[in-house]
Amino acid sequence: MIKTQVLVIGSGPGGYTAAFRAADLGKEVVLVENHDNLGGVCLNVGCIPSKSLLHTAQVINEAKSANQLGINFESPKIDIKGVRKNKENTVNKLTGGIKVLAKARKVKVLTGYAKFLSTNQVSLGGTDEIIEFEHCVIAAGSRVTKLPIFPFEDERVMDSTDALLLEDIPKRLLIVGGGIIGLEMATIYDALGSEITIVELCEQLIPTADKDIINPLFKRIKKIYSNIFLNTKVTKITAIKKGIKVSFEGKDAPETDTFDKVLVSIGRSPNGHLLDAEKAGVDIDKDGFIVTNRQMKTNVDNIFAIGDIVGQPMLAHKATHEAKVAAEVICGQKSGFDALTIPSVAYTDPEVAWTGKTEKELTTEGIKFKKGVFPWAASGRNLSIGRSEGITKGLFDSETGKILGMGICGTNAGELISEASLAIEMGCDMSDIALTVHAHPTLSETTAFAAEMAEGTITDLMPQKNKK
Amino acid sequence: MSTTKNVNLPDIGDLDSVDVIEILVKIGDLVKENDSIITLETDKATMEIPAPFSGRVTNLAIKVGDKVTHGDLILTVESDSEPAEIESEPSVKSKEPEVSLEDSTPAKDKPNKLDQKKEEISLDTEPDSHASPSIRKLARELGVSLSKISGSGQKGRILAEDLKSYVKQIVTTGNIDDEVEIIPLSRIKKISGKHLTHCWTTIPHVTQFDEVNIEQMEQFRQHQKERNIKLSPLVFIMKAVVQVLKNHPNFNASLDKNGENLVIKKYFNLGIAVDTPNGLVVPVVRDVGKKSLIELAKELKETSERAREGLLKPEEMRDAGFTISSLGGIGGTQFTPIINSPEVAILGVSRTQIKPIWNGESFEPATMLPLALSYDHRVIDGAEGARFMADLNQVLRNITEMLL
Repeated sequence: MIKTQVLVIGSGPGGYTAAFRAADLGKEVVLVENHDNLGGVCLNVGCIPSKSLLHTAQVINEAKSANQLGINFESPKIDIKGVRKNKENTVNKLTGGIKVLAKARKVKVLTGYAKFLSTNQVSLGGTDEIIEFEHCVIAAGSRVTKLPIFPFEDERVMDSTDALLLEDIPKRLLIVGGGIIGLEMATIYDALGSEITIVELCEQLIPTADKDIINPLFKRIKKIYSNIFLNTKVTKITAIKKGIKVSFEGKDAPETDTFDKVLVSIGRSPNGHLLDAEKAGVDIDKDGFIVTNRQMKTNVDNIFAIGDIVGQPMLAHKATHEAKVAAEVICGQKSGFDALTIPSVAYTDPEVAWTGKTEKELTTEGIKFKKGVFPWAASGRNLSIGRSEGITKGLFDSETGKILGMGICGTNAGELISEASLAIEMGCDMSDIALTVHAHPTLSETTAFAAEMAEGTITDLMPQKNKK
Repeated sequence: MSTTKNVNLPDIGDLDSVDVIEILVKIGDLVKENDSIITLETDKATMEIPAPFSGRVTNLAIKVGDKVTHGDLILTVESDSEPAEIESEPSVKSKEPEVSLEDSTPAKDKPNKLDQKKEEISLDTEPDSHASPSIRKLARELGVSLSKISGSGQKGRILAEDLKSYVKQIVTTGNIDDEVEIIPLSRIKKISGKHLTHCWTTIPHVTQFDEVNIEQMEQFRQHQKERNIKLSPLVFIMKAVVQVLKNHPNFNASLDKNGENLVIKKYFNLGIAVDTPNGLVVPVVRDVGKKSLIELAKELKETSERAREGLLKPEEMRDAGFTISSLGGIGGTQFTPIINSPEVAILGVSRTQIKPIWNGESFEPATMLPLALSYDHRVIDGAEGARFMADLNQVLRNITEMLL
């Protein structure tokens, strides 16, 4: 029997953050991870490897478009082993780093699948070890949603984890689900040479984002990819000898088509039901999310939960902030999760990022807003990096001018969105943003320009009509 | 059937962009005609704006901190005799399926429970609480609900010092138990407090006392009373003061900002301090010299009533040359009034008493009126002050001199 003050289940960004924070605040901490490597989905089969491959894709694409600049490269020779190796190096560097940090903090790392026995004990699968804890943080994350109609037993039908392994480069790749993960994988495989088809059930890609900020991306990839079928359902997938046969139901899609590989990226499901947390009496909702309050505490006094397992959005940066709250509350601090916004980023080409409320949400909630849209065709910086597409859209309270949300599509949108997130947390008005001197020429300038568009003070374009 | 009517800001005098400091109704409230709906503040006064008709508030067009001008839309009222069911409120509440977190028991309500349950924190992030993440964190640590604090930063942003002074106030007043109660000062007190501090600390005051035999005035008043004309001693004092001011122009004056020049006023406007439920206000009676005692009595009555109801307009409190503060109706033998800067003198009036007065042969009873004249010693020296008082005594003692 191992006894500890704090047990953290799962070593993803949420889990290791909770463990480290609790250790730094003086607690004795045990961190349990089911996999050999620390870091969870994000570091091993999510954010980090995908970003490594996306960088590879970007280099390929930029080399290809360099002819615009008067530089001609030969067609690249892609060494897939080398590409894989680079990705693995990045992952190993980071997961190794976590191991070092855990050691430095004297956080005890155990490998195995933790399952609850009671409100203060878990068993460690694969061993006969029992861990007794005073406080527990459940950070056991989420898994790829797998529908039974998809024959995952055939290795040509992949989920995002499989796709990141980069076993080969299929000639024709179908991606089921036009969300962030599907589009990022499309970006990678397209650059590596696959012909991409995307099928999406909704009427737009990344359905949670506003359509206008997806549009620059949509316009670009529509030209490059073989097909993007919106409003289309996949009814059947069968593995046949010459490929994966897929049946569609939708206006533009053919009845059936056969692909060399299929990536299914239709979402992720929380692991709430996979831990026997019921034995500890922890409340889990019907979707498998563990219910917590804003101090990340479950209905059981000494058990906390954070990250994907407690709710949307399933994002590492939400998990890390929740993790600190949980650890601090366990250590007697009066912390709480009261962030006003959690930004979302799709690392596509061009990138899409948004924060705060979307136009869709504001409309549904009946909040009156003023919109300022700055098209990047008028950005000197954007044009000089050889791009013309992109927009920055600011949403402001129509009465007070306070920033409510922002959406950006364009190169480095993911880096640019943080300014808007800070503005939301600080309660900035559009004039605050417009009057803040932004360096010229930069892409970040477009944030100020969007505010100026809403203010009516823009001079780089004609102001919108209804302004002072 | 209901009809929707707009409530616009009525004419509040010659004022542009007046600060809205308080909104006294919220959406869904039923207001009656003449109920106060908002409070406005200028540098001189606060005033409450009444609802022009009854109804249910359906929309608020302004918020605290806005500046409003005559004609601006304040709110929309649905006139309807049947109080309609407010549907929006419960649905708004149910929209937030908040896990019943401890934030429903903000520390202030049950401060003594703080130690027992460490996780009782305030997670007050209502959109109206304009505070940055670090301030929200500090509030949680201090167990303070941000909605209880008004921010002093730009656009009402709550700053660290706001939080600290809020907590300090609780600590220093010992509000942690229930034996004391904290009541914020009224707007008028807050404003007049600053002004009084300035007057008291920057003006070198001298106060000259005297008593006036007002037998003659009392007889005259008694006589008028029998004719159903009610005249308070104050209107006589006002008349007498104006008469004396004419001979002592330095008292009907103000000192300019840098204290180098005296601004002598050729008009005779008197500020009259009026006690109201919310605090002291000083409406100004204009051209006192040109008005009859009866006119003055009437104006005084009307002005004091409006002052008590908070209906005075800022221009009604401007341009006094000299101020009278009368506590005669309440009691006391004397008090030292504070000069209302930039004026240079003020007369304090206490309660009359019947005293034995030596007439050279014997004591006879006489009604004596105690007066206290505070003057700015930078402008008026002692002899001048005493002479003013002697002259005033003379006129009041012998009211027929007012005819001169």
